[in-house]
Amino acid sequence: MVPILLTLALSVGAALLMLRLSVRNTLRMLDDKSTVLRDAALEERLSRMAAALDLPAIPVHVFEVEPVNGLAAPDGRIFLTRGFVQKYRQGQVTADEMASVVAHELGHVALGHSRRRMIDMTGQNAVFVVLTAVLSRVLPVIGIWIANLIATALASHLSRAAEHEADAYASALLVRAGIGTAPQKALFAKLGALTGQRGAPPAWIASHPPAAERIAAIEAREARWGLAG
Amino acid sequence: MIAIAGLLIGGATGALTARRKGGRLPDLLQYAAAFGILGALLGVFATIAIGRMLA
Repeated sequence: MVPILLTLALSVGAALLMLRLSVRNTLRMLDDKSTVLRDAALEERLSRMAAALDLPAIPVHVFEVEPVNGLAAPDGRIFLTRGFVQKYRQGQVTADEMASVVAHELGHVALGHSRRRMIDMTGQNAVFVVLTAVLSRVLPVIGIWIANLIATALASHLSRAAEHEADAYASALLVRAGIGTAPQKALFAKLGALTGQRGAPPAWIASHPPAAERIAAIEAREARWGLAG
Repeated sequence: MIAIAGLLIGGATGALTARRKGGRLPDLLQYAAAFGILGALLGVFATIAIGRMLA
């Protein structure tokens, strides 16, 4: 029992340390490669959301990379990628839809997801170590592979749950800010085309739920809240 | 996820302990369950502790 617990404590400790370092690197990289977003139409939406949240302002930064994405940094700042802002400037994404992305990322911040994710990643590491130890006895070579698969599937499941929570937060915030849930659904409908993703990964290992499932969840909320879809 | 790791570690430890003591299948299962619950509980405490540390 003692050696096993020691192994576990070590693997959790090492994972935590590595995460701390990677968080520091991420923040530094974000600082180096980002600017404050300036756009009248978007800032108008942001100030309405800020008012709904009783916040003085919601600053959003532009992260200078190509892939279309939004992200919440571990320190709570919200970033949109340059690629995403470009799609907006080209008219492929509306200001309301951009606001729905910011609302989703705000959900991750407000619900403490980055901290939870850090804890879960240490756990994922521990699950992987233990499963490898056990499975390798029974299945010499593919044991590690199966252990990795199980640990990844568990983590993906948690990640998808977090995405649904952030979506729900975003729906509520968008309704409160007078923007409504329609842009959120519209964005999900075109998300695949925007990110240039062909062929989704298998559902049980994907970090995000499929667009159709996310839209259905929004519609379920609309029905529950008595909103006309 | 740490709680799940605790469940697995506890379960494995329990089963091994029961086998070392010469237990049969039902004994292995019982020990695995009891140690597994203990491990998961410790995992929950660890999660709370780490969560507070990171806050």
